[in-house]
Parts: sequence; structure tokens; C-alpha cells
Amino acid sequence: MGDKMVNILLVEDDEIDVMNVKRAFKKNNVTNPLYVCNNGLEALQFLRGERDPSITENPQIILLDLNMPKMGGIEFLREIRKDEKLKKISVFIMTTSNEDKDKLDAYDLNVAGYILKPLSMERFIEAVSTLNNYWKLCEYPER
Amino acid sequence: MWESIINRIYRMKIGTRTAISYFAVIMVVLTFTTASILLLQYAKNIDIKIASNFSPVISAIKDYQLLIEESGRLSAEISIQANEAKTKRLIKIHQRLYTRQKSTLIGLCQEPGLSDIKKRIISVDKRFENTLKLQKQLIELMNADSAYRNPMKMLEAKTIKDRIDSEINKLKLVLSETTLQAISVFNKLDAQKFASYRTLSYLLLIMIIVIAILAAISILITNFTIIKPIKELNAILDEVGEGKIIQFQSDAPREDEIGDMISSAQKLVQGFKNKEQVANAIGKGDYDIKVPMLSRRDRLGKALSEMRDNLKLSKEKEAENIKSLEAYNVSLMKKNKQLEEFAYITSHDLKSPLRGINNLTEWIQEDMGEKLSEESNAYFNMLRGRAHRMEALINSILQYSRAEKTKENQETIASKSVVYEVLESLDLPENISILIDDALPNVTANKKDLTEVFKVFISNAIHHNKSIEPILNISAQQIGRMVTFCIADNGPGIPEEFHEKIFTIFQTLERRDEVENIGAGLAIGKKIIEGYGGKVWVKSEKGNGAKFYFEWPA
Repeated sequence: MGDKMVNILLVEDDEIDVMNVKRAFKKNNVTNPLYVCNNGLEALQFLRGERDPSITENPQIILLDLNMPKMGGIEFLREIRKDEKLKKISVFIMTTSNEDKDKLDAYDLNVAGYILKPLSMERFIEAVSTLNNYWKLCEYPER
Repeated sequence: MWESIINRIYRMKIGTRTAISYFAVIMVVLTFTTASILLLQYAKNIDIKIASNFSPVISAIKDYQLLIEESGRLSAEISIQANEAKTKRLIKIHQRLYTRQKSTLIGLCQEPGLSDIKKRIISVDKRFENTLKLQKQLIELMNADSAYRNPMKMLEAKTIKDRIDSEINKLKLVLSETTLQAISVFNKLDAQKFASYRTLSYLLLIMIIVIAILAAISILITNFTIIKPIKELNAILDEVGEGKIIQFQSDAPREDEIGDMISSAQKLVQGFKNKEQVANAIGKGDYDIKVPMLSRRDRLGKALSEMRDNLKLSKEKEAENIKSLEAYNVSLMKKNKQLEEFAYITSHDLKSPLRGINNLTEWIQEDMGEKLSEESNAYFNMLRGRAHRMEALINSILQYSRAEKTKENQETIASKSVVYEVLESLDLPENISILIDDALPNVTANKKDLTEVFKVFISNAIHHNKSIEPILNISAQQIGRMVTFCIADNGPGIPEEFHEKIFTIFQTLERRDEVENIGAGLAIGKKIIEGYGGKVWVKSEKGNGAKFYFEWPA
């Protein structure tokens, strides 16, 4: 992997949750570039280069919330799994939903993990730290 | 031929038929009576005839014979010695007595049956003429003077006398024959009389037989044409009376009273049949069928049509009720679903701002660091504690709203293994003694549901137990198709007034801060158990522990 870092896209509508992730990244010294979209539709536009043409490399990891306005997480997942260019992206679900149905739907769409957002900051930081280690361990195909 | 007779009979009224049969019997009796009277008359006539003819004829013949014999005797005496008196007597016989006697006799023999006798008398009379001539000759001879002195003349007289004797003997013979013949004629008549009496007795016998036969035929016809059809009709009406409806046909077309009866009965049965069909149709739900009315006074028909109208009305009402009930049911289900969704969505939507509040307090604490007073720090910690409690409450609502009978994956489960699994998953106090009934039975359940229920009751029993040596006892008893489980502890017990309240969500008997207890477990357990058709109850007194019972289908 060298010094080349993978891009990470956070799809999250709650401002505090965005801040939460950013704060957790900072605490764990995660320096990967982090892009933020507020719903599925925005994220889809972002990935297809319709939103910010200056970004040339698509993220290889997406942190995805499920309950969002305009386009929810599961719907967004379906869209990218249908898209030849986007279907290889690793997706981690980060949500408050503890429903079996959501979990089943998510794993049917090939997610890399399903993480429940804990209430306390401490445990969230632990979770992000674990994730960071995991990303670092993984190999990603060359573009 | 028999059929044509029967048909003819069927076209007559019973009255006519009875009159005809009476008339026939009367005619027969009259005929025979007349014949008998005639026969009796005939016999009586014969009797009269015998009485009036028989004796006079016999005695007349006798007198006639005596007269002839007398003439013979006289002539014989005269031939020996002339005697004036005797001669006179003979002449008298000749001239008067004989002729009179002869005509009397012939007069008596005028009856046709006596014609033979008359002929004989006439022939005797002819022969007697010869005797008469001879006697006259003798009288003349003897009347001459002194003829008795003349031997020649005496000889001649003797010759004449002999001839007269032989003639008279012959006549006597013929006459006695004639008497016999007359007797035989009367015997014949007598026989005829007796024959007529015999005929009369035969006639009476025949009359009795004829009347008996007529009576038998009449009984037979009555039986066949009246009693039999009445019996048949009676049997049919009996069955109709018992509620069986049979259609029937008369064997022959009849115009008599029986025919009227049969057609009335047919009308009755047909009416019943029609009513039955209509009632059946109404029973099957055809409320538009027309009820056939027998007449304006047909009360059954009226009742039936009223019944039909009422049924139609109530059916329509029922349909309306069902419709509204269905609509109500649908709306209820919708409401239920909405409520569930509401619980789910609100709990989700409540969670994220809660997390926000929690995060922000943490960040403030972190960023402020030392600058924050100890008191403020404590407040922030309390704030976070309340936020955590609220999350727990929200999670309980979520769990409660989802808790019910899971329809999929129902199987036979060993409840004992479920109990062991639950005990393994819990943090048990070190000094607890657990007694588990070795014979915990198999039950039908979704494993997740049963696990949840045992978890609720066992953790409830452990958490509230503050005894120094806590005891947990799990047993079961199967009655019929239900298994009753009992989870008993030696904890503080529950006062009776709270036995119902503890199963209501968020009802706990202790201060919320003291025990980490939300108060949803028992409510969730109850909801699941009731979904399986079971009941939940508790037996407890304060200070004596509690026994929680719940039923589960075997």
C-alpha cells in the first residue's frame, strides 16, 4: 500500500454523526481523505463524478448510514451493486437500526460489515480504530 | 273386461252404486218369492183337484159296478123263477138308475187326466148294451105265461143267464182295472205335488246361494274400489303426517267420491311439495323465489313468504354487518401495523438526537478539560446517565413492539436445553443454587421466543433476589395439551396488589436509579406467551419468594 491512502466516503445525514466520525478519525490518527455526502442520491452523484469534477479517484471504502432522506442506505447499495464501475467498493454499514431485516438486506448486498452506532464516544472510537486496522490490512486492486 | 267393468264403476258415485246393488238384491228376492208363491199355488191346486175328483170318481165307479152286478144277480134269479118285484127292479135299473149312474160317472171324468177312464167307461157301456139286450130278452121270455113250466124255455133262459153272467164278469174285470187306473192317475198327481214342493225347496236354496254370491261380489267390489284405495290414501296421508312428502297417482281415472278424495289429497301433497321446494330454495339462499299460494287463505304460504322476506332482510343486514366488521378489522390491522411502525420509527428517530446530545456533552467535557468545575462534570455525567437510560427505554419499546409469536420455524423443542442455554448466557451470582426438574417436557415453539421467555423469568428471579443463599427452582407440569412451567425464587416476594401490575410495561417496584431495570421484561414475556395461547400468573407473598407460572403448548 505504501504511502498511498485509500479514499473514504461517509454517507450520513446527521451533522453530529459526521462530526463524530471525524473526531474519531482524528483520535485514531486516521489520515485517509474523507468525503462526506448527506444522502444516497448525493453519494451516487459524487461517485459518478457529477458533483465535484476535481476528484479523480473514487473512494474504495464507503461508511453508510441506513436511515437517510431522499435515498436510504439499502437503496443506495442496490444502485451501486448494479453499476459495473462501482460494485467493487467495500461498504460498511454504520447505523442505529438493530433490525434483522436491515441486517439481512445489507448482507444480501455484499457489505463488508454492519456496525451499530454505540451511544458512547469511547466505544465508537474503539470501533473506528478496529476498522482502521482492518483497512490497513486489506489489499485493494490497482485502478 | 274386468278393467272396463272397474272403469264403469269408477265413473259412478258411491250412492248410485249402493242403490244399484240394493235394487239387484231386492229384484232377486222378489223373483224368487214370486216363483215360490206360484209353486205353492200349483201344489195347492193339485191338492184341491185330488180332493174334489179322486173319491167321487172311485165311488162312482164302484156304484156303477154294483149296479151292473145287481142287474146280473137279478137276471140270474129271474131266470130260475119269475118274480115280479125283481123284474120291476131290473127294469128300473135299465130305464133310470143305470143311465143316471153312467152320466154321473162320465161327468166326473171331464178332467183331461181322466180321459182314459172315460173312454173305458164308454167302452164298458157299449158292452153293457149287449147284456141289456140279453136281460130284456130274458124278461120277455120269463114274462110269457108258464114259461117256467116249459123246460125248453127254461133251458133257453139258463143259456141267456149264462151269457149274461159271463158278460158281467168281463165288465167287472174291466171296471176293477178302471178303478186301478184311476188310482194310479191320482197317485201321479200326488207325485206331481210332491215334486213341486221339492222344487220349492231347491228354489229357496238357490235363492240363498245367489244372494250370498251377490253379497260376496258386492263386498269384493267394495273392498277393491273403496276400502283398498282409502287404506292406500290413509297410508300416504299418514306418511305425509309424519313429514314425508310423496307424490302419488291414482291407478284409474275416477269420478266418484274416492276420486275426489284422492285428488284433494294430491292437491294437498302437491301444495306441500311446492312449499318444500320453496323452503329449500329459501334455505339455500334464494330470497327472490315466488311462494306459490294455494288460495287467499293459504296461511302456510303467507308464513313462508313472510319468513323469506324476514330472512332476506336479516341476510342483507348480516352482509352489511360483515362488511362493516371486515372494514373495521382491516382498519384495526392497519392501525396495529401503524402503531408498530410508529414505535419502530419513533424509537429510531429518537435515538439519533439522543446520541447527538450524548456525543456533544462528551465533546464539551473533553474540550473543556480542566476548565470545567467538578460540579459541572458531575452534572454532565448525570446528563449522560439519563441519556443512556432513555436509550434503554427506547430499546425496550422497540423490543416490546416486536415481541409476539413468531410464525416461522415452529418446532418441537426440549425446554430443558433452552433453560440450560439461558442460564449459561446470564451472569449468575456465585452462591446461587439452581434446581431444575429433570422431566422438563418438549414443547412446540420458535426457539427464539421460548429462549426470550425463559430469559425474562430467570433473570427476573435472579436480579430481584437479595437472599444470602439465593435459590432458583424450575419445574413443569403437563395437563392435556398445555405445559405449565413454574419458576420459583426465595427473593423478597411480591405483595398481592402488584401481581397484575408487574406485567405492565415500564412498571417496576423499585426506584429506577437503584436497580438497573427498565421494567419491560415481564411485559415482553407476557406478550409472547399470550401469542402462543398461554397464560401468565404469579403466586407470592411478601418475604416468602415468588412463583411465576406460565403455560406453553406441548
